[in-house]
Amino acid sequence: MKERMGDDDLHAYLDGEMDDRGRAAMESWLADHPEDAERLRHWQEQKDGLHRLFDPVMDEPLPWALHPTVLRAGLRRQRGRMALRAAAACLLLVVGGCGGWWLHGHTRPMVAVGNEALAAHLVYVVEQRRPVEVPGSEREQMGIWLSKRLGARMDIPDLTASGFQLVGGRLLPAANGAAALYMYENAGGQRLTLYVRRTTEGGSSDDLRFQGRDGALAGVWSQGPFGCALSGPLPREDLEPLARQVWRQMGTERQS
Amino acid sequence: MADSQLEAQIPSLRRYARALCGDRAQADDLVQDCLERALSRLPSWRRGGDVRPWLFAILRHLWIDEMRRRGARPGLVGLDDHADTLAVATPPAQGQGLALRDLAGALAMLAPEQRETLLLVGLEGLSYAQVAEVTGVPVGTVMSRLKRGRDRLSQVLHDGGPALRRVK
Repeated sequence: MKERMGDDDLHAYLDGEMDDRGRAAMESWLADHPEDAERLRHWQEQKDGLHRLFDPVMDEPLPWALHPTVLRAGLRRQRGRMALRAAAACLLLVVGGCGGWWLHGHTRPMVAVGNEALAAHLVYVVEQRRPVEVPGSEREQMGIWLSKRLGARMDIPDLTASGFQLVGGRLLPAANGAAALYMYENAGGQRLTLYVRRTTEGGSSDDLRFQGRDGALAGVWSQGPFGCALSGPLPREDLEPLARQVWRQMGTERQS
Repeated sequence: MADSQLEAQIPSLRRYARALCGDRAQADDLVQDCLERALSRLPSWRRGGDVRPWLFAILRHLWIDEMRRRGARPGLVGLDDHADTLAVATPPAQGQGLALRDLAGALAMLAPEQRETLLLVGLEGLSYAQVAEVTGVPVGTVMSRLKRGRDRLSQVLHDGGPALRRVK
């Protein structure tokens, strides 16, 4: 039995919307109607073409802004609203293993530190001619100077063991006074920045927290009088050990 | 669970967004907004069922908002009737096969609702019913948009004639 096939049927056939009986009827129709078979072939070519055009996007490396870690950090940034708070709590259950630290009392001011750190990072890492104010060769004087400006002693961490040399540092304005920004670079030209400023709350974080922006991820913590953030174009698994190393070197506050 | 289901869709969302708006940065912004919104609404989802139409619907709303903000087009709805009067500047493909550049050009010239329908079906493999759910129109409208979109692409790519000439 031959049914009459219209455009709707041709499309439905092409898109797999037909059952077995419909498909069989269509195949029989197409055998007798080469002009419809030709149109169908064109549409199939369009479909194939779309895949050839856009499937490569799926193989591109994920930009950092879309990394799940960064996304969750972005979610936490907006967590003033109750609905989002509920979502964060729910995510916590889903993600698991995070222990509830992000609801810790220090979180909110630390988010500000992270935002400032990422902003400074993104501005200065692209600088080729003047990335820093004081070169790394003057480490000692720079340490004394910036400790004085921040009003508390601060040791400049050494990341040589991880392949990152100190490029230098600079003084920056911060919401509540001054901030120090140190820049490190490895042989591959990757740059990390360590942002340090006073926090009004004091106290020390239980753990690192992460937030990201425009391809950079920051590990953020508080330590004595300072809020600190190590930022870089690195995935969390690479950034985290570096941040812990900096945390350890910066003082004796870390107990773990 | 739901969280990893969501993550598994990121490549597909990026592909769709790139095809939809053409621009890489804009597309990834769209996906980021979409995922953040989806994460924040995760508790309200939990209905079981396929996560894909839900995600594509979120992305679509954000895209419409974005287009409104840019004033690029007055809106998605009701453009079907005017789409055929838009001139297509892309010359037809010469020679064998289907030139991808021409396809990309022709796709960009489609009315937004035709483009999204074509992409949701042809690229993302959603069923007509799912596309109807995503775009909030009856299945019959999905099918008519699909037909118009494919006919226009065929005119540009295969017939070699101006796209203004509609074969009824």
